[in-house]
Amino acid sequence: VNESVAPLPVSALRAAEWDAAYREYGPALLRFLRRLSQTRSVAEELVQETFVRAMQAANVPERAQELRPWLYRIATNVAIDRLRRDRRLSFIPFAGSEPAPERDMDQIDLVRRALRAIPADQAAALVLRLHEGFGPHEIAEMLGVSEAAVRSRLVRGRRKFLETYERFGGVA
Amino acid sequence: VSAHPMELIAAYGEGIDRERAETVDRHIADCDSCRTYARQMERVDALISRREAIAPLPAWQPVPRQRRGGVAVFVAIAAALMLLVTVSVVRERMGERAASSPSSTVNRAAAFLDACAVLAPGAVRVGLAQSPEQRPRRVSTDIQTTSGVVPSIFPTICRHGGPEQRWSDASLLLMRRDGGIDAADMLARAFGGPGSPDVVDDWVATQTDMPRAQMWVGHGRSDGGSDPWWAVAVIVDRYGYVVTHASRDTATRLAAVAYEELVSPGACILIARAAAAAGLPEGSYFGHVDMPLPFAAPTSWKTCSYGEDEAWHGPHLFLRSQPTSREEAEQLLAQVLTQDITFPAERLAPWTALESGTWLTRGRVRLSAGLNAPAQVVDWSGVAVSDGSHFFVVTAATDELALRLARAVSAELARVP
Repeated sequence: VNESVAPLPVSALRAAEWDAAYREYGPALLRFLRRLSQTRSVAEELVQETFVRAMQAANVPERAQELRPWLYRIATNVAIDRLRRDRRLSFIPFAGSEPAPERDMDQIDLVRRALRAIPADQAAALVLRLHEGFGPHEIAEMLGVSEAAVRSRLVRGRRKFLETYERFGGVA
Repeated sequence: VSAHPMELIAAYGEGIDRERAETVDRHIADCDSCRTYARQMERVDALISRREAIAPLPAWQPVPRQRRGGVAVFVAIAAALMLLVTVSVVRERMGERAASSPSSTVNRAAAFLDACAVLAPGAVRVGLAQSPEQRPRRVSTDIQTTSGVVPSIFPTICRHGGPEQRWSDASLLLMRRDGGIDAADMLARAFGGPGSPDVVDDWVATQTDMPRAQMWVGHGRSDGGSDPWWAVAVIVDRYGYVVTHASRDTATRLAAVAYEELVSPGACILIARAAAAAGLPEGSYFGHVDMPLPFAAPTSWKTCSYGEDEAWHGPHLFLRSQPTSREEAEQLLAQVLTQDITFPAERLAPWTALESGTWLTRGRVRLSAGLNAPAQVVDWSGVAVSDGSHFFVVTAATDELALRLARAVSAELARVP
């Protein structure tokens, strides 16, 4: 980055707050996004994108306790966008040319792969609920849907995940 | 509750009311498969809950190692990202405006107003010979006069013919009249004016049925050249152009086709502008210009390839000539690209909707440079776009390039009244 690049129109104090938020929440967001990403570098990319979107947002929460779920909300949207985009671009194989599941794939890779293969909103709900420990009410607020919709996604997601995980060779 | 309450079993972990929970419990007690399913659901929760290792927070990727860390880096990265976005937007807007900007450089104007993009399909339509030796080629806009070399007022000139520099071959001189050049000025300076070896003795205003257009016809001659030629000059809206050919009739017909291409941009113009917007190097129009599609009436599609690459991995544009509804477009998807006889797709993936009105496919062809040359497998991508009125398909070497070109074509079409 060239020294002459014009700075963002944010105050130094604001930038320092973002820096602190990045250090505080970045690792957890990386772990969350890693669950939904093919590789670690993709997850890192998504963390960066999450913070860039956050910095550009007009409605940054004032209260510190609201910042974490708000960042998760952005990260979830970033992850869903990425999952959907990757799927559009990658699931158009030639007939009969789908790669066979790798026999020696780690269990955790299989879990990630199955999560990426089920509908993105269901995968995000499952990871937020089971991996990150958010309650249905919090997830509903993050995703901007009703609590009933979250419960429905969780139920359908579990069933879809099991079916997909077994199709990829996993044993549940 | 159904015979096997799988949905309720899957919901069990999220909490269901007591009555349903008791029903599930009773059912599971007597149902081996449901018990197994319940255990699998617990296992699913355990698998997804298994924590990802906490990794150290990564440094920001685009930053040189020695400058990582701290607020300044964060601000710099964000600034760089914003700069990239800004540059991208500005470039895109410049691309959109270049054709109308009086301050555009000659090169930029040439990229967006390429005479060959007009002459190439025109030559096909009037029946000029199509061969590698006679492909449309850009020619120098410099004019040699007795007082030295002067730049032409036309930023882009194209000639369809052999290597000889002669106006009796089909030629098109094209400009946008943004620089204040009026009709008299254009006619007087078309071939360099006094001292130029090429002159038109007298321009005669001629009736034309091209709406909003004014037309002149003149008889041209060149120093040292034995072939006289005809020149047809047209001004329509902000375009000014001159077509030359040995035959007055051919020059007039070419002028009419050029009018159609400029007023309602054809496939070559659109793909050329899209290619320029996408940053592709300057290319030519060769091969699949106005190629008839086996499934379609000859006049229902405009087609053009861009660049030297004839197979579908080189940029191609297939533009439906008439307004096409979204429903019609969806029906046409099954036909377009599948029945080409020149490069039959060895494998073609089904079209997949990317978003409303945009579809993606991938194809593969096996090409060989000759009978004994080894075959080369080439993959390409196709993007189809329907905005409810226009329908077109772009092919290119990669998904990303096909998408970028398709977006640029959409932007161009959106500017067409």
